[in-house]
Amino acid sequence: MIVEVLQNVFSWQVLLAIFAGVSAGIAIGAMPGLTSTMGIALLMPLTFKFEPQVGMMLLIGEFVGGIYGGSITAILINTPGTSSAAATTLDGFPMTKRGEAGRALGISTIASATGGMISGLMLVFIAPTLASMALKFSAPETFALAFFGISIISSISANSLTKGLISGLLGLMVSLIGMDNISGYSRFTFGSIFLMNGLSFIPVLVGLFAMSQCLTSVEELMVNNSIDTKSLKRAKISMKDFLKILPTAIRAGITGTFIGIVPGAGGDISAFVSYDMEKRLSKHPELFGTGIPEGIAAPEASNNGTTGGALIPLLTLGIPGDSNTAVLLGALMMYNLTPGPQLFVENAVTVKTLFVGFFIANFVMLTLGLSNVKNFVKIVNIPKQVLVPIVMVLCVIGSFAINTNFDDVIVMFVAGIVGYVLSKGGFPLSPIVLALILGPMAEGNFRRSLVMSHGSYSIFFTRPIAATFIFIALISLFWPIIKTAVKQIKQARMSK
Amino acid sequence: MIKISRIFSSLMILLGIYVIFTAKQFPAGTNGVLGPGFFPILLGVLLIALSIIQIVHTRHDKVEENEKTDPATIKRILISALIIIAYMVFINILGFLISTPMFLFSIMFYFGVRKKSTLILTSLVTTAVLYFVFLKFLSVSLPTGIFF
Amino acid sequence: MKKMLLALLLITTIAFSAFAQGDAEQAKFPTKPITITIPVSAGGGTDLLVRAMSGPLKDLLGQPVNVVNKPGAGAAIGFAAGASDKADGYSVTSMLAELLTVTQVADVNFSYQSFIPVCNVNSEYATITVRADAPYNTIPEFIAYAKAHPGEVSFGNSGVGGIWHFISAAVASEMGIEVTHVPFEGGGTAVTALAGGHVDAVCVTPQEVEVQVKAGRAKVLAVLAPERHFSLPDVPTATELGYPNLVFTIFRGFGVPLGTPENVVKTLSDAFETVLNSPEITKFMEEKHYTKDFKTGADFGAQMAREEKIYADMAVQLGLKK
Repeated sequence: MIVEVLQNVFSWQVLLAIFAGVSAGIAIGAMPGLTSTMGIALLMPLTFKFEPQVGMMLLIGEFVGGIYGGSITAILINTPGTSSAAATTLDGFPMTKRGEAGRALGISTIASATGGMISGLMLVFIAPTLASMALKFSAPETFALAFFGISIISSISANSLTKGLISGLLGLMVSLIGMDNISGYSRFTFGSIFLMNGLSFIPVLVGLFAMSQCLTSVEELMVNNSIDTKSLKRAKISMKDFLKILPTAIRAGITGTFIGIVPGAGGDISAFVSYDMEKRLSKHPELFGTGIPEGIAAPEASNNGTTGGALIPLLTLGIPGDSNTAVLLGALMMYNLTPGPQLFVENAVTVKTLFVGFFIANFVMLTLGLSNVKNFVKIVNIPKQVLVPIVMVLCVIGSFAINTNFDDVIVMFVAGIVGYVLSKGGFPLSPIVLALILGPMAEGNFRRSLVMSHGSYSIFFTRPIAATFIFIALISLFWPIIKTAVKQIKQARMSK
Repeated sequence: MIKISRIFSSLMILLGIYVIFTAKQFPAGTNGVLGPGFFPILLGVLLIALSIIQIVHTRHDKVEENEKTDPATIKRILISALIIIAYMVFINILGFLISTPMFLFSIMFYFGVRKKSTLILTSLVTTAVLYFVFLKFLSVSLPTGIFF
Repeated sequence: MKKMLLALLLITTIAFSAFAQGDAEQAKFPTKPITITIPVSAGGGTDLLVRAMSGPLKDLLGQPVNVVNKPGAGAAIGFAAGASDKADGYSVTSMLAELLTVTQVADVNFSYQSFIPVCNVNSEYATITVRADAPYNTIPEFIAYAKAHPGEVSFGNSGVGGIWHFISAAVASEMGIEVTHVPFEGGGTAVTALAGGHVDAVCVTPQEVEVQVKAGRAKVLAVLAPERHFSLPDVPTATELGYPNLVFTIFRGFGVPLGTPENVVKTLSDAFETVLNSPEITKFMEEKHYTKDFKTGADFGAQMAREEKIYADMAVQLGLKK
């Protein structure tokens, strides 16, 4: 069997498929507006005529590369290519501003590959044990996880807690627009069919980050205080950096794998959760947000950790862990590879081929990423007067392409203006993104839980996973208040 | 210049009031199950409370560095935004292939690029690359305009 | 600036002349690319089928066939866009069963009658699927259990007013049982909840529960189809069990906006039929478990009229009528 698997993996078709998939994924992920999910969906029809392992590896390669690719633009031009990379802008762009773009890219590449490999190890060795976790997650648990995610807003609101919370609430409010899934009632749609669907997430994300950053850059064109790109110091990641980020990357990779397993939760949430976790564990939490290695490594290792994590319930239970694997489930069915325990018996060779292929995909990603750092950095070298217009076109085209709907372009533009004004006023943007992702998840599952429990609130406290997450969330939300209170008590004792 | 955050917080109070009043008219939930109006009202109340706190706070705050804006910059941002709006209008009339190079050319020119080769090459190559990637490779359609 | 204006003028002139030419050649069809609008996202069952058909369709008609996804709002966005397209045959919309349900609950400006049905190509049917460890193995046992525990049996669906909600509500109403409907984000999520034991039953297609049935976490009690499903030969139809009203078609067909010339509709229908019966697509559909079901425009329209009535009654009963 091992021989057969190795023959499979190291056939030129599979290797080529992995290489092509990862490269396409990186490119698609890096482009604002194009997500890895969309890439998989669009590449799928091309793979019908391939052998199952060739086609699947192309798509899995795209998945792995796409999640990583988003970080490149997040770091270089403060524009997350995918929602998974939204957290990477927090420390990635500040590091680029200091002239250390190469270092930031190196850290993100190594962290991504580490996170991916860790999730791969967990996929290979403890998949069945972990898979049952996915089945335990129902509405109350998912609500609790989303609530926990929202509580992170208090930790990513860099300077002002009130401003961060206002941003978060604005995001939650925007997420209310559209047809309510629990009652079928249309909220705040003003009779528009387009708004019935709610504002699409990707155009809002592209507007908030990319378009508003473009407008900010227009300012800098005048002031001309842009980065001195000629003196890009430290183009490479040092051994010291590597050792520094390794524990972070390992922890974040494991966290990412677990969040990847949870149905409906993907790289965007896990990146923020890991960022928050590292900040809390750190001895110098105040440095987060200023461009430190851990701040890049945590979200990047974590979002790539979800790749293997999301594959665990997909392959063992036929339950997709995130939006990417939901499309991959379709692909598996197309190849008549019915997921489930019997897949590991009936198609053992194919499954093992995919496992080994997954590691190779991460390795290819690492190699492609590290060897292209110099090329990626060239983006920063493009004069702002030329780069900013190109990014603007990407914003428009990317938002259009996601649903082939021009209304989304208008949404993107409005979000861009709002994002620009907000950042001028010192309001952080990441809480909006977090709220947009988690708002519907929290509200929908809260009310769904009550439907399931016939209106009894005990459902949130009698189920251990749900209760635990709610408890952690409450602590995390009120942490700043608790901390001050503890300090005051201590001071009071001292003065006694 | 503490204006922006104060104006914005005041707007948020108005938004909160609007949301609460609209959501009051949503149908109620049945059998103890929360209706569609519960969360909007909860969020509205929180938003108003936080915005008031923010307004009170900014009084004591010192000027935030980001908020410094001179009229020349505002003008520049507005004109850039107008060029983008023009692009969004033209792309629906003339289509992607014609309006994109036009947009790139004009906005780069406005940003002060004067080198002819840069202006022309960037406009054409960007359009061609995007056209190839989206339409040919991913077979996603782009706006074609009303004539084609 | 002068040069730019000149160029703009030139381009506009060329564009206009191309436009005028297109108008004159209306008699021949098709003379330019055809666009098929899919109201659901890329990568799903509908998308894959239409994209697979678009290749042979292009070869047959001699014109490019572009596939455009306009997902959102329970497919309403795509249908609304499709209904307002030009009625010249170059804009085809993929008509799905959601067309009959979304119009019941949402305030939209189209209905199934906004389209001329071209033809139907594929039909799937719903099942009543329950947890494998449930204490009932047949529909009569299920009904007896549900009657003994009113309101306790929960049905997962794809959102209030979604197609699976209507179908499970129709099941409950026909069988005279009281159930709790739990709305999820989609059919797939509802199946996940069934597998995890968080709901008791779902009404979705055989393909959607196939994985869980094979893994021994779910069992199918009945199919809501005119005849037994090829993959579930031992499972009775609801009609066999005495519920002839419980037949719902999850159809996939094509339509064009009202006012499209008759000969154009005929050309399109013939083209779709030829492609559907081509060896390439036949093999594709067999391999990927699509049930081929060609219906002419007239038959397709009649079927929609019948089922639309049932959904409309259901919407009133559920208090969802807009």
